[in-house]
Amino acid sequence: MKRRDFLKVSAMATAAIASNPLSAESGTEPSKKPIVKQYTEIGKTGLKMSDISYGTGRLPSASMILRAIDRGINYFDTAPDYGSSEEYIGEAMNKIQRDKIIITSKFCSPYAYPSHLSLGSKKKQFVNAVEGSLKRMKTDYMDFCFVHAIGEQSDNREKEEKRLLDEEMLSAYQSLKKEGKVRFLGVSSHGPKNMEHLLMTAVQSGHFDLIMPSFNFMTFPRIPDILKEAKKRNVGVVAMKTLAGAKESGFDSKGAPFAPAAFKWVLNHPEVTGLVITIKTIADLDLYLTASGARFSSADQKTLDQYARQFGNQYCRTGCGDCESACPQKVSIATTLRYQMYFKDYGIEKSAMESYAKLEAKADKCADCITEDCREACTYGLPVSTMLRQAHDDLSFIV
Amino acid sequence: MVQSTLYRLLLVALLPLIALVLYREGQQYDPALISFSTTQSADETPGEFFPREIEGLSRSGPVRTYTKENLYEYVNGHAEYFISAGFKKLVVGEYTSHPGNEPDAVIDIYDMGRSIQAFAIVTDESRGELHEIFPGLRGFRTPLSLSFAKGQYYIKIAAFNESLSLEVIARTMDAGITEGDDPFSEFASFPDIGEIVATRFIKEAYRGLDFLNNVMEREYKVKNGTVHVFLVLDDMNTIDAAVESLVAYLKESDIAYSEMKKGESTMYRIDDPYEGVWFLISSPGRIVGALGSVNDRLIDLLYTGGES
Repeated sequence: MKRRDFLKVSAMATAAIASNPLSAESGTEPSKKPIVKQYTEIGKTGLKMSDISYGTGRLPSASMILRAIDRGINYFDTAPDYGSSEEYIGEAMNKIQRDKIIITSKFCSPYAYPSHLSLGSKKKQFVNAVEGSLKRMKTDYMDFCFVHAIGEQSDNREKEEKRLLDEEMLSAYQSLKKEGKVRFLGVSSHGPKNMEHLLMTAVQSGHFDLIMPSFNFMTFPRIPDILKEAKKRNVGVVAMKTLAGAKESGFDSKGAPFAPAAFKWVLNHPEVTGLVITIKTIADLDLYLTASGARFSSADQKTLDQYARQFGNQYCRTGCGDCESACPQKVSIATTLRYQMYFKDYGIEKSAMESYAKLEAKADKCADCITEDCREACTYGLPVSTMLRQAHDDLSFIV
Repeated sequence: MVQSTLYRLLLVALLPLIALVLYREGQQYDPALISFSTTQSADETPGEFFPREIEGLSRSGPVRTYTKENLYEYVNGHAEYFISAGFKKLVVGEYTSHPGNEPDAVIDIYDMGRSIQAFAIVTDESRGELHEIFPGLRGFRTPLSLSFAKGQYYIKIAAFNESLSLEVIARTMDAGITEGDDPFSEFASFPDIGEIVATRFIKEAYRGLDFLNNVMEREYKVKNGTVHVFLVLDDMNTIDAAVESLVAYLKESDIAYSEMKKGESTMYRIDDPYEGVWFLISSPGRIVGALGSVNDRLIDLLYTGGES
């Protein structure tokens, strides 16, 4: 083929592709690639989500959204403070059949994480946050809007309860729902304080259609009660932080692959509607979708046991926070160690450092601590003080 | 005499046209990447960039210097990140409002060896989106820090006093730092095809493709839309491995593509259902590609490297 001929066909090919928009129903990806095999209704919303769904915290491009849709993923979890995620969704929007996918975002500002609207925000601010998201995503509505990371902004349970059931937020949601801009309300939590209590309050309040807790095979003794209550009240449950620290880069099970095993464990709970997982690459997509609709096997359990043995004394259980009251310096232990997990295990160093910079009670105080009360207070026997010192060193580069 | 006057009048009449051409051409450059400062002498050390006073603060104590051997003392847990990105030397200057007090501001100057490596650090830190700090300088801000790249240097200003203007400090540092290498030579590989919207550095998995790492991308606004041109400069083995992985991925995914060889270069035209038609051209030590509203002229330009 001559160079001229080679180049000329490009315009024709582009036109052909443009006239064949992707949708959740019309796949173009060959079937030999893993695809979604299980969809479940989210509570009583009438919306069915893919069991493996897309957490867009590190979305690399609009094309990844389209690839995921073609593999059957139909639920996309985003937020204004997830980098360019909402803009990428907007870029993909003209190739998407909007009513075939579920988009969730947060009451949040588009600044470095965490930028969730705090207690004291006015109705107008909640409305503006949603309208900003819709504009960036080039859509008229979002399916769910989340009160995000409940339990993170304050150690005070009552204060976070107020944020959860904030009248300004609820009033904004009702207005947005009436205008067709938001269809349902959700709440997410990875603690560190009062996660179980706050999520139970959310479920029992009747205001929320969906909860998104941290949930994986290594933690959360009290979560099953919430799952049961959610099931009873027809509230959907979408799990996050399902990889228990995502330390798989240094882990070779020599058996069932770790990530699909961890997903299958979560999805094996009938109360769980689905899970969201960060998908950065096509290889991630290929691997993660092998867990869709699959049974949790004894080989999977063996892999998870092996992981727990190897990392059980290194993984700070997201959402726990049991040790925090033991610290006389009031260091934000669980949040610091969660940011450390983002830094080391998720590989999002800069974002983790930015978030840590915004934390008020950093772990700098741990350097001179001699009592190390946190070590004794950890339910799982982690060397908390040592971990905090290391975390501070890693995360404190950006002031 | 009359003829001479006519020539002069003609030249005067042409001045607005010349100005218009200069203005239009000037818009082709990304202000974040162009410095019109005088090139410094090769033996200048970054420590000399610290002024005695800045934003009402005085320099306190000696300038501290860190090398690859002891960088971990300053950025424990993060030293490897800098070293793998080309780090040569770090100098740290502290400023205080009252001698003997804790510093009100700390300025780090990382010599990253090459402008592209400094640029990579600042874009990575900003998660790919740099913002205009002031006209002519783009960087990244957090509430109490500001970072930018100038030539081969990555500069980070940290304030411990909320009343300080990080922009004023950045402006002073920017004026005082002059490039010590051949700045921006890598960016010359990008074609001149339209208005530059942004230039980014993507450390891993460009557009989700696991095999395309350390990618520089420039986004252009052109007549009929947007074009993304991407560039990878690396050793021959890395480039060959990336291309091999690309071909394997295309075959495995049943994505149609054509390839054509010319000399040491190979051009791939990929009919991608998700990206549209895009192009990738590999040659020893380099990959260049384009996505978006790509036309034949651009591909020709990338393929021939500007040769006729």
